[in-house]
Amino acid sequence: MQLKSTQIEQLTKVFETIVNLVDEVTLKVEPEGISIRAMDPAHVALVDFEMKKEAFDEYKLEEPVELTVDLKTVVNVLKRVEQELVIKLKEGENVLVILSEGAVKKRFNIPLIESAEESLKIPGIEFETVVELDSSLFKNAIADTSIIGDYATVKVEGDALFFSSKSDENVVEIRIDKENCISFKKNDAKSHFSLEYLKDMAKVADIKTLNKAKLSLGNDLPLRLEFEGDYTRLLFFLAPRVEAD
Amino acid sequence: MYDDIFNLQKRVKPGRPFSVHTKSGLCVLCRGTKMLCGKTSCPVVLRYHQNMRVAPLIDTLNLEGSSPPSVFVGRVGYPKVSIGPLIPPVHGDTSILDTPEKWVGKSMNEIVAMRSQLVRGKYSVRVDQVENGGRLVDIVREIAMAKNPAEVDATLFKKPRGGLVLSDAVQPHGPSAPLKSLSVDGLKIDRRIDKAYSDTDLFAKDAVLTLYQNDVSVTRIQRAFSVGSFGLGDNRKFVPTRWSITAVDDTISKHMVERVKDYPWINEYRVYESWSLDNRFIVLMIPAAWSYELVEAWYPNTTWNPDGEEVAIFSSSEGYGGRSKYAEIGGCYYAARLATSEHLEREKRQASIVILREAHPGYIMPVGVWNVRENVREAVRKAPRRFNTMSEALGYVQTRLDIPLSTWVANSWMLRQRLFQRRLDDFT
Repeated sequence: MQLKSTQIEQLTKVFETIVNLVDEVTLKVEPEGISIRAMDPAHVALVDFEMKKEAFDEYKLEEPVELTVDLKTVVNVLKRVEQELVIKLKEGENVLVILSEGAVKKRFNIPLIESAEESLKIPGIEFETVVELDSSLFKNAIADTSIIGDYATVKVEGDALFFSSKSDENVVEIRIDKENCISFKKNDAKSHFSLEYLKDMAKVADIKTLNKAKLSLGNDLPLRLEFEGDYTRLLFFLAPRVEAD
Repeated sequence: MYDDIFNLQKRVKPGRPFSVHTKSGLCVLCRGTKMLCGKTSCPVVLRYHQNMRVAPLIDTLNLEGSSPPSVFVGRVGYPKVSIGPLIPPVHGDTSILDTPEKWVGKSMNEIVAMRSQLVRGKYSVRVDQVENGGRLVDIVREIAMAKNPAEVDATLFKKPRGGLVLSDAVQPHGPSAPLKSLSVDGLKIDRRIDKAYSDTDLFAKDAVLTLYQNDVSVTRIQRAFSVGSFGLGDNRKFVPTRWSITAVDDTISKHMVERVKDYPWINEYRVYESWSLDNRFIVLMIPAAWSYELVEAWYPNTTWNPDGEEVAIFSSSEGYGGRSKYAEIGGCYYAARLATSEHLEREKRQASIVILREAHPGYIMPVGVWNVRENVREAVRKAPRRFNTMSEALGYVQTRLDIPLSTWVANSWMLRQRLFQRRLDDFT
């Protein structure tokens, strides 16, 4: 196996988002591309990440492999990679090799760990309400609401998407009209979510190639939040809170 | 089930303290006779009696006695601190005086009686003078590393002064006096501790963990830790007693928690309890990934709510990933984390843990974080009540505590999380 990429920043930022949810992940390397599916220990959030082989400059694979790693170490290593990233496996050993090619050549060996995770299923929910918007709008709405409270109410009512939160007497409401969204499949829906999780997920908006956020909502149902770029897709599911108004 | 939660939610008014009516302290009018303050015994009288009993025995410049063994490292003036042994004016097996592991079930009077006879010798040193501090410093370290009561003969510059000294973190001790010289006899060093002390390439953390795994008591590890017995040779320092208690609790429990995270979840909801010194401890274990919270409710006129008219509730918590800042509620947080994580490690199980503590008016003075550690240990030693659902478990908890469940929920991050945060498993 040998993967090469010069778009290191994107991969690093994706992994940084995932590491907020889980410490250990299993990276699947398959003929079509790489993927990660993981759930946080509290079983509140699930992440599903895919990067197609076209996103890499070189994608050489003899047979599919599953690499379970300590993600924090991988993130720290990726942050030190300059110019070109090369990912390899050390022959005959359970060791992932990450190389940084450039004026200075760096080499990091990261031991693989035994996978404990059973395969995770994506919740099969049919959503009636789907809103697509600029991911920066989403990120700002989350930043605004988290000033006030610990959880946010996300709802679609009429022709607008609302984010709101409150604590004691403080209230915040963000309204994004249909015209300012990319697509808007409406059906009134309302659920409450922990902002602690939403804030981590909203960081994806900083990745330039993932500039569209697609929110699928229901009434007291999980949030399906999808960021999609040319060859990359990052999907989250977040369980709701049953907080009364 | 969700109906119950919504009903509960309606009753919760966050930020509104639960109130009980007790009068504020009026010691002058009361003088220990009428209990006007609402406490069940008078701390002023209790301290007076203890001082009177001990005073004639320690009215001396030459104090002889069997140190349990025990030492105290002060924090005032850091990095120049006062170190020295705690010496009672009695001979024989005094080990119980500094073994909090054996104190659960003792009354406040017994604890005060035990501790107030311990005279603290003080000798001022820089914290890094562990090895070159002179003979007196060496003796203090030997006492801290001993496994049996040591006959100590202390010459003092002045007669011991002061009464019972109290602290939230450290067990109380009696009067103190500056040390002129010290001699010791019949002292046996704990071999396990000596091994860690001799290894100047062993990190302090690893020394603590190794000793704990070799069944050295937390108190004994902490005592040796406070005199700079562990760590890389050049880094060794005296550590004020209160800091060393928390450092040891934190180090051991952090390690336990990492192991616990690899174990399967418990299969049911469990409620454990321990009652002592008018404190009620409830330990709720939830079948879920590791997370931990300690919520403490202080009634008016208890130690940390002296003038209040309402119960004051404080809490600190951590999720699966642990915490990076020092817990708001202090050392007891780490002491209880040790007690619960060591239990799970022994059982090879994982759980979310919420500890609810009611400190009632009979808890008239602080006795140290051992009270929390040993009571939570005592609680989890006993068989728990087991329940199939969170509602049943909480229903039982309510019968054991006076403060309404809605108030606990309003003040507990973890209870709110469990009650109001749904999980993805609910939707697949």
